[in-house]
Amino acid sequence: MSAIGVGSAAGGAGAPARSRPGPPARRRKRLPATPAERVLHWALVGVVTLVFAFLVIPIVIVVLESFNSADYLSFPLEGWSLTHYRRFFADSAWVDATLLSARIALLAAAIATVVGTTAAWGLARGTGRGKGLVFALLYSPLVIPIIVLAMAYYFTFADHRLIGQWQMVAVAYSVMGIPYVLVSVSSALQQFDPELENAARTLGAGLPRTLLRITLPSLTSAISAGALFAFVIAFDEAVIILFVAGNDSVTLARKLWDSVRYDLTPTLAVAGTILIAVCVGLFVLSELIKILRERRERR
Amino acid sequence: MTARTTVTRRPPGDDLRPGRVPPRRRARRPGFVTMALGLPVAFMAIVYAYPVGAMLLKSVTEPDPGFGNFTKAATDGAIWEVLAITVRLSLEVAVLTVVLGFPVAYFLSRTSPRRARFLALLVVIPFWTSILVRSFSWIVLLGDNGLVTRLMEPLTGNSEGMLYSESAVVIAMTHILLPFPILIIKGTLDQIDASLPRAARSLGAGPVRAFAQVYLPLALPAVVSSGMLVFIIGLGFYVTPALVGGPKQSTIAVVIAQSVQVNFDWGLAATLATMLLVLATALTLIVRRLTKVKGLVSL
Repeated sequence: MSAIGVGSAAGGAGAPARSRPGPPARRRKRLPATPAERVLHWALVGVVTLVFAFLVIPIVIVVLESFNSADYLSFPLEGWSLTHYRRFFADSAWVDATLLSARIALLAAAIATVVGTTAAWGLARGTGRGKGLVFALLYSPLVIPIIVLAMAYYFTFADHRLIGQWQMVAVAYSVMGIPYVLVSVSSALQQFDPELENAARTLGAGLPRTLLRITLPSLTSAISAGALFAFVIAFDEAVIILFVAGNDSVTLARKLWDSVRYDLTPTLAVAGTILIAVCVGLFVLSELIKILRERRERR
Repeated sequence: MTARTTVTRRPPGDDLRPGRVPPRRRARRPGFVTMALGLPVAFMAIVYAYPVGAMLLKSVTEPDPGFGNFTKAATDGAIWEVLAITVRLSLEVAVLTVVLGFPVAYFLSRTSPRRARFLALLVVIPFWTSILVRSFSWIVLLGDNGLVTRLMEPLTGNSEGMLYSESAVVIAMTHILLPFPILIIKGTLDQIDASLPRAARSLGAGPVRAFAQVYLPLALPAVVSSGMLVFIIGLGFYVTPALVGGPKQSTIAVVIAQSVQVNFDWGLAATLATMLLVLATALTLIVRRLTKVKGLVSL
C-alpha cells in the first residue's frame, strides 16, 4: 500500500515536465514532414513568438521607463539615468509606502502560512464528513471576485472603526493567501506517506514532536512556496487597499494607484519596477527551492 | 484510515511496549485533527465569513430593510447597461485569451521539456506581476506618445493613442488574463497521448484532419473551462477598466466603487456586489460540473 503511494508520488513529481512519450520517438516520426506540415509549424512558431512578445513587452517597458532620463514617460527613451530611482528613494512617501507594503505582506504571509498549513494537515488526516465544506470555505477566497471582498472589508472595517489599521489590512490579505498555501501544502501532503508519522509515533514520539521533526521538514518546500505566493499577493494587491486604507495605511500599490490617476511620471515606473522585482525575485526563489529539493530527492 | 492504523499498530518488535502506544494514539489523534480543522475554520469564520455575510446583509438592510435595492437596481436602465458592458468586455477577453493562449499551450506541450520550462517562465512572470503595474504599462504603451501608438501611426494615420477606449481595456485585460488559459490548456494537452493523432495520421488523415478530429476534441474541455474561468474573473475586474478605460467602459466593479466612494450609497454597492458574487459563484459551479479541471492554482 505505502509502496504504491510512494511510487506514484515520485512519478507525479516528475510528471509535468517529463511524463510525455520520449522525444526520440517523436523526432524519428517528425523527419518525413510534408511541406504543408512545415508551413503549419512555422506559422505556429510565428504566432507563439508574437504572443510571447505581447506577454513580455509590457513588463520590459515598465523596467526600461524607470531608467529613462526624461522627466516624462516616453518611448524610445531619451537616455539612461538613475534620476528617478534617486527621486524615489529620496521621497519618504514612496519609501514609507514600500516599507508598509513589506510589513503588511510579511504579517499576511505569516498568518496565511500558519492557518493554511494547519488546515491542510487537518484535511489530510481528518476523516469523513465536513472536510469538503472546510476545504470550500478556505479555498473560496480564490474564486470570489476581489471587488466583493473589498466591499466586505470596507463595510466591516467602517462599521468597527478599523479603516487604516495596517494589521487589519494584513489579516484581510492573509485570507487571500490562504488558498494558495492550502493547495500547495495539500498536494505535498498527498505525496507524503502518513506511515512515516505512524512510524515515528510507534517509536514513542508524541504527536507534536512527530509533526515538528517528521512532517514539517518534508513539507518545507511546499510551505515556503505557499508562503511566497501569499507574500506576493499581499505585497501588490491593489483593490482592497483602495477601500480600507483611509489616509493612514498608504501601501506601495495604493500610492501607485493615486499617482497613475493624478500625475503620470517616470517615478511610477520605479515603483512598478520594484513591484516586478519583488514578485519575480520571490518567484525565482521558489523555483530555486523546488529545483534544489528535486535534486536532493534524486540522491 | 482507522483500518490502516490498526495494522501498523502491531509492534514490529524491539524496545516497543505494546501496551502503551495504542491508547495514547487513540486518545490524542482526534483532538489534534479537530484542532487543526477547528482553528482555521474559526479564523475564517471571523475574518472572512463574517465580513462577507455582513456585506450580503447590507444589500437588504441599507438604507431600509427589504428588497428595495434589488428592485431599484433591476429597474435602473443604467445598471443594465453597465451589466451589458461588463459581460461584453469579459466575453471579448475570454475569446481572445483562449484564441491566443491555445497555440502557446500547444507549442509548450510539444516542445522539449527544458525549453517548455524556460518559456513557461515567460508566462508565469507576467502572471505574478501586479495587475496595477501591468495596467500602468498599457497606459504607457497605448498613450499618445506610446510605443504602440507610434508603431501604428503609419498604418492608421492616427497619432492619438487608443487609451481610454474599449480596445484599450480589452487589450490590457487580455494581457492580464492570458496566462490562465495557457497554463490550464497546457496542463490538459500534456496528458493527451501523442500517439493518438499519430495513429490518425497513419490511418490516412491529413495533419489538419488529425488535429481537428482527434486532438481538438480531447483538448476542448480545457479550452471551454479556461475560457469560462477568464470570463468569470473578468466580470469582477476593477483596476484595469478604471485606469485604462473611459466612462463608457465602467464595469460593475467600477460602479460599485463609485457608489461607495462618490455617492456613499452603501446599499447599492452591497447589492451589486451581491449580484456579482452570486453570478460568479453560479458560473464557477457550472464550470466545476462541466469539467474536472481544477484550474486556478495549477502552478
